[in-house]
Amino acid sequence: MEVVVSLPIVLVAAMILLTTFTAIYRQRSLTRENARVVEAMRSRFEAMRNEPFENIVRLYNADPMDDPGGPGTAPGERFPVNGVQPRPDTPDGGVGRIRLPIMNAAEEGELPVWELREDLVDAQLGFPRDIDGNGLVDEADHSFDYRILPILLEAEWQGELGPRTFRMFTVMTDFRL
Amino acid sequence: MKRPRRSSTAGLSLLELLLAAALLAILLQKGISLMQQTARQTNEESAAVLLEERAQLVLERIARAVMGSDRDTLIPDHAEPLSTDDIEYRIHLGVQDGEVVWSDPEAIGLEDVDNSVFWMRMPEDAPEQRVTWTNLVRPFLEGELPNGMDDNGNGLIDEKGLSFTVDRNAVTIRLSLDRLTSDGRQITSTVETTVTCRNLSEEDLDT
Repeated sequence: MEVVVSLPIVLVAAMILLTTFTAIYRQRSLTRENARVVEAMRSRFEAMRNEPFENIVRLYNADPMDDPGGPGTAPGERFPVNGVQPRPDTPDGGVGRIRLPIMNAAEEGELPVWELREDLVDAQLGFPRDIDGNGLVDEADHSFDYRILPILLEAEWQGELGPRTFRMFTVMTDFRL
Repeated sequence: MKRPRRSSTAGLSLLELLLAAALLAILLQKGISLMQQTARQTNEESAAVLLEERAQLVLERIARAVMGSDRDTLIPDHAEPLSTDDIEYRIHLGVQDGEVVWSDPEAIGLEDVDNSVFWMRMPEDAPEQRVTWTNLVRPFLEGELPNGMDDNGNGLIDEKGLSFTVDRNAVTIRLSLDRLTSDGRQITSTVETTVTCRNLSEEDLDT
């Protein structure tokens, strides 16, 4: 009788202990993944700071044809994050992405024309907004005369607890202007 | 001949007891084994996380020092594939009577003797100050061998466990730490970051 009573108690205690171990393990994995992603994003922001301000859009947009050093020479919009798994449904297997206030201004059926626009509608980037400092929101391309540049870094990865997303936002400006 | 009927108050037979005991023993053994495995895994994970946290902490200290330094005082100035395992810099403290006031020279580097990362301030008229930030640094960065080649594919050749590369105003810092766990297994943590010097000269600003 004593054995029959004590056995379930021991099993329940063991289950509680195992659950605690698992929870700690998952929490640590979560913290570690976040730290890696934040570090990769910070490094990317620092790398962007190291470039001439007027080149940032052309260096970090998705269009390889407008790269300042020649087609295909810029880092582009994707960036790697070491130590985290890309999501299986990500087409290029990347984790990080740089989002700039860029939109395709081409007509349907034509080749894409990427423009830096103030009239873009994107709440996460805080648009529409004035970025050339004239106090107006217009429909022109500001790829060459922007004075402030909102940037959103986004990471999507397959974490220990399932798909994860992390975003970091900043606004860059050229203090020498 | 009539078989004796078992009384309703009779206990378990010897065979039943033996079977129950054997089952219990197997269950307990499996349970204990599972617990031990989980505990070992948790310990290993804890050790890895602690090592990574320490690496991040040291990296953060180095990054803050580099960010606060004046770009023109940063030496040596190696770009990839060359790297260095120490840097020297000064901090711009302000302007007095039209002249820039510099801090005493400071240095961060790898001490080969005990694989430690040190920070050092070198005043001209006082003894130097030295602090060790960690002594768990690998002799070479994770995946790198001293063979004149880029073994880990990061663009650097034979880089040490702490390495600095400079690209214009940005400094990339790489750090590999390792340690042994309680059961003798080696764990390694490698971290990397890029920071830009916040204090630039007029020439740097113009370019």
